[in-house]
Amino acid sequence: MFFILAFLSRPAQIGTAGQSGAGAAEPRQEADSGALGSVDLAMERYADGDESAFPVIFAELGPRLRLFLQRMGCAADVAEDLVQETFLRVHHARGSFARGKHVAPWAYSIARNCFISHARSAKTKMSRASVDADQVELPGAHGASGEEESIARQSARVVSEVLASLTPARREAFVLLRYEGMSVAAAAQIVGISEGALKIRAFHAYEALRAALAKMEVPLASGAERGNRSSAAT
Amino acid sequence: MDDLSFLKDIPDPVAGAPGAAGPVPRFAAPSPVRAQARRRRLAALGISLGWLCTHLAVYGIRTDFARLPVEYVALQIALPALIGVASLLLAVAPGKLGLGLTVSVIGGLAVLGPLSFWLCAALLNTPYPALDAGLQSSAFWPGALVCLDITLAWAAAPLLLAALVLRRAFPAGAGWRSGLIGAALGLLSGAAINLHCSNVNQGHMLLGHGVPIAVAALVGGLVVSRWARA
Repeated sequence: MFFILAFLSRPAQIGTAGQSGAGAAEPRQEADSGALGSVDLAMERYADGDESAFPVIFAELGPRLRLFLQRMGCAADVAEDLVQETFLRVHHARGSFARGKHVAPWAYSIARNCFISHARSAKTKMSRASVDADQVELPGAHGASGEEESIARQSARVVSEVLASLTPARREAFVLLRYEGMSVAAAAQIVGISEGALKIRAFHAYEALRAALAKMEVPLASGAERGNRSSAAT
Repeated sequence: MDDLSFLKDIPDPVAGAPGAAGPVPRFAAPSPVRAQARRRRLAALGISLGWLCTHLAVYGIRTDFARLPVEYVALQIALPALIGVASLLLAVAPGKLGLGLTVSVIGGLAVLGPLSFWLCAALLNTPYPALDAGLQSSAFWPGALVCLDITLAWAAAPLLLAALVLRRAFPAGAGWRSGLIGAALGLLSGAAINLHCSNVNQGHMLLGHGVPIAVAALVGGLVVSRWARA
């Protein structure tokens, strides 16, 4: 309880923290910075009717949205279909894109809506354990020993399985904060809940993932700090 | 070090997955660009205001308007109209991230706007004794139902236009934002019916003029949001 309260009081972002942990992707934080990036400017042009700007948006956001959807539990082929659906909706909604804003939170919201529509559809069956760790080229695998590579694959599989077992609400909170580089404010608005509620969801997901990784004794970057936090929580 | 950096303890299961984009989709159907969307929304707003003003002109301003106290006019007519316009503007405001204002602000307004109308109707002293003072009065139910129908009809057309011009406009918080638009249009209709109907009975005001606001908010949140969600 103590730790949850401390967690909630944090004005959190994770974007500028140093790289840590096996396979950690560096989240982006452009959504909250003031300056517009090239993809934001491309979206400005596209919203104003410049069709030639679309490939720029697709090249930048397409892979990110596909990975987001895979992390949310979609199989690779389903994620690809949902990316196409997302961009179809982006196309139809471009007239509503607000001037001078970043496109990433807006596009993630649309992708999330596509994911929810897909998940709710009675005709579709989501692949729960969507990521096949054996088919993924893991970071750290290059030049790593066989044992390190094996641990990396095993931890990726465990994370994938635990993510799939979480409730969608907790999973999306964690994925947006941890992997997609959203600030708490942006993620909360994408999900449509308060910042405090989002932090609680992400925290529960983190605890489940941490416990699963601890069981397989994966060395984590901030183990000492985490140990302190666990003792504080108890 | 940032506060949530410990989340990075958890490795990314798809960190090494292929990052190349697939084939660029091509869309056969055209979509409205920003200038067109803006023109359509302004047109819808103009038609909606015209709809209310035309009906008000045809039905006429209430006969007792000249002898109503200023505070009664302010709280029963001006305030709902003001809250309605403000709610409308806030519902479509882009907010900091282009996703609208926060859910707490939008949701709060969607509830408090209609609530303010009901509180004014229930708590404000009537300027003079009402003719159909009780629910038992034979004139109460027909009068209330007529006003309910009229107010619903006055709100329905702008709500339909809103659904058409706000298609796929809200990627996030679509339910609350559409609900706020419904509440806003209901409040404008409520203000308009208060400007037309001279019945000061509190029960009549709550049922005939107030219930349609809640209905409009619910229709906005539950029905219009289906079109408005991007």
